[in-house]
Amino acid sequence: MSDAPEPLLLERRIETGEDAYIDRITADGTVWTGGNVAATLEDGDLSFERSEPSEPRWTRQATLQAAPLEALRRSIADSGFFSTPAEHHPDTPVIHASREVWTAELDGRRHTSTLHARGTTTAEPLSTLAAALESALAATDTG
Amino acid sequence: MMTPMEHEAERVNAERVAVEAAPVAAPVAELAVAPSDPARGSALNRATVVALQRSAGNAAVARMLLRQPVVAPPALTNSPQEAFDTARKERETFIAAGKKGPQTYNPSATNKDNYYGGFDVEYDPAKAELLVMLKGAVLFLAGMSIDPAGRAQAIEPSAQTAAAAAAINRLPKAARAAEVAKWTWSSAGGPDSSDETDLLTGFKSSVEAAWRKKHPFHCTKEYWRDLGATTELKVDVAKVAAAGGKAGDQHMLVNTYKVAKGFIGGAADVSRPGGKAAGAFGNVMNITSEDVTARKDELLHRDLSFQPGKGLLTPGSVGTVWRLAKEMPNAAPGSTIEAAGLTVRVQGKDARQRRDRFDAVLDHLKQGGGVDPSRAKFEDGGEGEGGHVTVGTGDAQTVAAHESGHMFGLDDEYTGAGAYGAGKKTEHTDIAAAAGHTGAMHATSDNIMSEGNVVRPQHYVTFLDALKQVTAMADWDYGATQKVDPPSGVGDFPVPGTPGGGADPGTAVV
Repeated sequence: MSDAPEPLLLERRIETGEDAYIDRITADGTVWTGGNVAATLEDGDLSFERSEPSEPRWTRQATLQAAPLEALRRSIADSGFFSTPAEHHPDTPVIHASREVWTAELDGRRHTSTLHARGTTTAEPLSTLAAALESALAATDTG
Repeated sequence: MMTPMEHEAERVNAERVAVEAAPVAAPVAELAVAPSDPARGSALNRATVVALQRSAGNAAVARMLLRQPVVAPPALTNSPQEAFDTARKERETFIAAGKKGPQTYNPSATNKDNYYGGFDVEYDPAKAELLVMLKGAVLFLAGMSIDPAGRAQAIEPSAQTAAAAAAINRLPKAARAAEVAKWTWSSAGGPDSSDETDLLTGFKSSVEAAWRKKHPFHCTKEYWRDLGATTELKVDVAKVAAAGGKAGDQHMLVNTYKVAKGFIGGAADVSRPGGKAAGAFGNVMNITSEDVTARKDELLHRDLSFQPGKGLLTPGSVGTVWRLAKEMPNAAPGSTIEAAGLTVRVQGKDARQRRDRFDAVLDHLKQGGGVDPSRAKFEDGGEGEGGHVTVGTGDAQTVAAHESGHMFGLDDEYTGAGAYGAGKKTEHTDIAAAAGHTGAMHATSDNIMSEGNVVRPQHYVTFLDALKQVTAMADWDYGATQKVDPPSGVGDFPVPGTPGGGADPGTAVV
């Protein structure tokens, strides 16, 4: 298994079956994508590349500037994530739904929380983190 | 000293005693004797005669009959013929009464492990047809959107769509809208003009084709065994503008996310918000626009490679074989459900090397997961250094057909973490076992509830249960109808223990 970049600030891992797609930002503001499924677009044609689940690949995408990096840290700290339960389940079981695994590390604390049945289940601290992650990614968007 | 006449009289009397005491296998009802006439002794009815002939032989019975009164006996009653006539009349009445149902079937009502699914069922005895009806309200949803900042946002919740959105966001902003539009239904401005119609027709045809007419049922009632039930499917799905538009008689809301053509993956699931209490009409299915055609991700296939010039697998392929082996446990001893087989196509420089390489794959299947070598079949792949493993038929699954299996009350059979561990029971294992199909488990296979498209008998267990419910008759089982003949009459039954007479039951009659 290739090692995940460290030290971690925030990671969102989306899992569907054996496929995982990961957005990961390290403490220094480096933005990575990873997992065992990657998509490419060439002349409008979408294609997917898969590797074994045990062999996630990491690609460095960008680096956050100081301001958006600090904004992301503040959002994580204010989100209530470190006190959210480790598991969020739907009210009733959803057969083979996707899930979302969030991990954050800040000020010496590290916590992981899993949202089962992504798209059906919601948890406020995780929704806050999702918005913060998107803001950070948008800040690196040079397109 | 007896005279010949006295001797014969005693012999005949002994035969009579023996015949009357002879054990018979026929049901008690068939041995009922007509009301006796005190003046003439007991009269024998037709059933008794037949039973006695079968057990004692017709010669002894014939002699006994000679001793019976020569006058007309009382009317025969409770004969096999009467039982046959009564049963056939009841059967005809049952058929003439017309269709049974329609009735709603809730899998949770009979399977304590179930918490999803629902369908309607109707039985037409004249056509010998069990009609399973599944109704759904289809809500067309975009799989992706573009935000005011010009960034693609995944809506469809899978890992693959998240990866696709990231790929789109690596494009220049000006190029993104056109890509995101491919994740939008035509009614909302997407480029695929007939996509909604294609989805509705594809859903209906793929589910009906996958599930119809796979395993016949027959009635097990005496003299009704020529009454059958062939399962037909009728899927009705219609567009709704909002989730609230689902009608009360529709079993499911089908959230259908538009994805770009060629998309592989996506989240597909079934749930029943509210659980068991929500009933047969409270289900939600999530699929994508690509889920009504065969999957393209080759779930039942594994490529292999061998070390050049050697009989050994490469380290990567060893891992591939071991992972597969762990997902394919052997059937538990005594199971009626067989584990899937594997076809191993092997390349090599000559026949001997190909055989050596096949043996290497067998060894790793055994080491990796204890796979019984008899489950694997060799296929000569000619010259080369590669190989390929196909699980079962290898045919691709259509996701909508698999998800509809959940609507029919069936659990997944593929493997995963926790309760999906290879070899573990599914939520339909017990109900299938009660119907005679034992050993349903989580395993990689070509089953429709695993990773293939084969509907096996255990997958018809809720249809059988629904048939029993809608006909208010428990006498149904798997299998084709059987010919029903009227009971045979008095005939020529040789003495047991003699040629053509079957085994001697051990009576005193010779």
